[in-house]
Amino acid sequence: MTQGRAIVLSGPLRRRALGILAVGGGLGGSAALQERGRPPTPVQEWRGAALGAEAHILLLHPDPAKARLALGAVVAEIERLESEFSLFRADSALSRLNRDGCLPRPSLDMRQLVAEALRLGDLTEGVFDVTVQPLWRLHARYADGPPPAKLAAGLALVGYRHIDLGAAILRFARPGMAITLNGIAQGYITDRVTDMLRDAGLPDVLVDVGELRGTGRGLDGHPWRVGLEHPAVRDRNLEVSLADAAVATSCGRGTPFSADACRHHILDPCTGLCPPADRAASVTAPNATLADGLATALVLLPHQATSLVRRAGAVDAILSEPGLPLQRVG
Amino acid sequence: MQCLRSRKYIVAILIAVAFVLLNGAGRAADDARRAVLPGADRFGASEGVPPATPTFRGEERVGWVFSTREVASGGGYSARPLDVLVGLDLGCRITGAELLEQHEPILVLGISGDTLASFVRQYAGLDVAHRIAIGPAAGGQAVQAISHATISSYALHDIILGAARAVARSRGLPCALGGGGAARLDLDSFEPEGWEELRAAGSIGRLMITAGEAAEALRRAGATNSASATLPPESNYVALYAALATPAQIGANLLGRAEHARLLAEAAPGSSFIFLAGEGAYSFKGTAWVRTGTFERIQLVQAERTIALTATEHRPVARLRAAGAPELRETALFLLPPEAGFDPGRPWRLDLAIAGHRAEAGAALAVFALPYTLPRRHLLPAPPSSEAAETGEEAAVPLWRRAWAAQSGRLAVLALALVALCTVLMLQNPLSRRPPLWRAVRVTGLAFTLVWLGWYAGAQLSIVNLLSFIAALRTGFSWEPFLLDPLGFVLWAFVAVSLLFWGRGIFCGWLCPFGALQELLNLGARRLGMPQLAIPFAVHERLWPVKYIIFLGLLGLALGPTALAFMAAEVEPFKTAIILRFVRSPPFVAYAFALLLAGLFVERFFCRYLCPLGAALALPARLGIFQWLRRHRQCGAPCQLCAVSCPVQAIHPEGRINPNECITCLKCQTLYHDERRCPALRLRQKTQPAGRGGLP
Repeated sequence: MTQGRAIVLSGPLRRRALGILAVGGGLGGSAALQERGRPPTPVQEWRGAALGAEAHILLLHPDPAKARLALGAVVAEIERLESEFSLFRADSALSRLNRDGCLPRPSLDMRQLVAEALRLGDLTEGVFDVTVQPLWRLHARYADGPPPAKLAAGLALVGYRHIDLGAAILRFARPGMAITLNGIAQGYITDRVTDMLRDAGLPDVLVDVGELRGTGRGLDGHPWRVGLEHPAVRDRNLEVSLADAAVATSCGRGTPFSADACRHHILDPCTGLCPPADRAASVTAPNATLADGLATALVLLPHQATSLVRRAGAVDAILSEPGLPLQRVG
Repeated sequence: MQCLRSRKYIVAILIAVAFVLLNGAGRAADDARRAVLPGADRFGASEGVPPATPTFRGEERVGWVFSTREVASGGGYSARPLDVLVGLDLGCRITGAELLEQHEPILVLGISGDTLASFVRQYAGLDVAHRIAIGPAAGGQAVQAISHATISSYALHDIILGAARAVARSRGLPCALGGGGAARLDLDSFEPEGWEELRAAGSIGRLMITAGEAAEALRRAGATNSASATLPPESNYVALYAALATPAQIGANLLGRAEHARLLAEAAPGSSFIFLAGEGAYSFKGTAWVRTGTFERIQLVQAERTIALTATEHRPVARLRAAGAPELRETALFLLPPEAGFDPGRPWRLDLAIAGHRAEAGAALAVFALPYTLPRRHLLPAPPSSEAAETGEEAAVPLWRRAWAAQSGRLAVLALALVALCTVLMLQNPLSRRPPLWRAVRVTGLAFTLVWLGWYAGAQLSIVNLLSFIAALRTGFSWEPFLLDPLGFVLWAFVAVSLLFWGRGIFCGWLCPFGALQELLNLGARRLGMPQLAIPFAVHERLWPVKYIIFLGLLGLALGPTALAFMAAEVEPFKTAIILRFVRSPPFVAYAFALLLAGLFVERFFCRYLCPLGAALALPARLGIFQWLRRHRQCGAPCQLCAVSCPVQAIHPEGRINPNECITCLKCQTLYHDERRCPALRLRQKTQPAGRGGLP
């Protein structure tokens, strides 16, 4: 038995700081399949890292060699996209953009992702804003929170409409601006990887490269099922079925700046402040980029969850916050 | 009747003679082949690509014999290849190499045939599957370059190894193919193949996007309106074709053999050619690239590398040669330089972006991928890594760059000398007011030109350079052969510019080693009191055209067979006297000595009447923008002092300096300023004080 219980995706997922509890039908499902006389499909498992987070791929394919070949291409693609979107690599396209204020000959990936970021900005009426990077730097520098004057100066640099997305050159309209794609790049990489595997003839995959996306059948012959963890919902598992869909979870506790997690990586572009750290949002959407961006926006804008999910074309969303009832919309 | 019979005999005899001659020729060819592949007793017919003659001992194949010219047309100095006959055994070992033919002017000028032949023979016994160094042997296999002719040595090295490796590769010798390692492209194999065959075999990749698919992808990306949405969903929005055109099997079939060969010659070794073509409503090129220099709808992706395609790398495809190609809306070829880091043997994909607009400002992008994996039949297994390293490092640096690097010291000396010469000419007046200084400068300059430039560095410009230039213009001009001779190149560039200012004089009077030799010898002869032959001006003037006739004759020959022109160019004694320093067969030496002997009595006899290079340089002398040699009003009428002292009698009796003949030695200028000898100055000295004193 190569598959079964062991298929538990867990571990410190940096941004969410939460684990995915369980995946698939587990043992029971495959036992049922065997009873029907069909040999189980071999499972290929890959573990690695992407954009600083642990990455995990599960593949169902009868030909392990073909699966391994496809996984090799996936690893290279993740590496390539990291060299585009990573904030931590000084030579990445994103770092060059932030340093120089412009990026000549942006790759199609960069243009596509920034276009998507601008669209999410429009969809969320500016709540999702990739230009909060100057604020993030302030929060990272001042242990007790940035002084008001600095915060005001930082806020003046925020505004995704000041990104000039030209096909030949991508640039900022204001000097000193900087962007972070951490709110959607993991979703984008998840999507790329899933699409690549599907194009390579591997339709039954669960990809967890920062965000989760499942296509085809899971281990029990049904769509992949994953369990989510929210800090406010400790007593039960939130289960989501991924029928060619992606789920992304946002929660401030993922990367806290302060010990009490009062300040963390999710920043309100209007105030420069952080929403409650234990507020969490999970969004299910057709693709991980959208799910990823919307989840971030919903943490900032929980009251508009219903209309946002509908407008953006997402499937549904789960919102949780200590002391408030669990909210499911969609 | 008698007559008829004798005619029959004659025909019979002629046929017999022809047969014997042909047979003899065949036997001679076999003898040459046996010399490079000892032990062979039977030779097949030349066959295959590249062509080589299979060689047998009994029934057993022992190797191949081939001519480097037939295998690869190497770019020689005169645009004519060198030809070396090479024997290669089944173990990638060169069994022998013999120089068959060379028309290389550098070689004609610089090195005797024997030196070249013995250089080439060094390759016998070397293993081409491994690195063969040129120069000092550092442990491995090496050959010694010909001293004073490193460039020629490198040229021969490249053509021998290049041809031997091409033959070894093409014949699938295991030693040449090596084991393991990265795969390499089979650049040479070619068989005609049509578009559909290339498509079916995967040599051309295809991506088809219908209008419906494009609209759906754009809708997912948030676009509210797109051109694709207005078309019938099933219609072809874009069909994109991609191919790696580097191997001849793909590239030559798509673009034509000539164009493919031209691209291989144009691109740096290790470049990749990406062929793209599209049909349908959507253009993969767009129009913005003309303005921005970037093709913003496509990108090439290989593993972790993203390669932007730019206008710099773009080449238009003049005509698609593949039979049965569809009606294509647009085609493009991208020449990826080796620095792009593209590995043609590994899979890659082309990303195609389709842009749509959103209701709010901003674009939405949908990206489609066209994956491409080169079919294995276009690959050769890698040779041993040592050889890959060698071809890598040698191919990376063009031959001419190596030549310039090797001669940087000499180039520096030459540059200093040329600067000094310019200074001398700029300071013409102060210098010519001091005759002893002028004489010292002149003799020093000539001695430098003769000893360092001529005898040491071998930088004697020659009419042969000019003839090769003309020959090259006729057969696909390239600077590379001329750049192979750095000193010659710099000198020619300098002479070309100086022609505008001073006419032929700068070269003939200062930079020609043979001219310097004549002048210095004549100087010695005068010192020894040898009588000088004064040629009457009328005769002198009528002898001038001889050199032009010689030049025109050579020019005419250069339009015909080049070898003949180069032989006729021996009218120049430069090679004998300067390059070979008189170490040559007696007739040549006698000819050079005869000219020098004449020069003892008639200064610069050769320059005046015979030198074809002087004639060639004299022709544009009339263009001379400046007339910097000063004259008095009285010069020529009545004074003939300068005309008589001019070493080449370039001054007409009426006082005019003939720019076609003047060698800019400045002798007339020393007289111009000589207050004791110049009658004009003396007259002025006499009249001026008298005039002033005459005033009340």
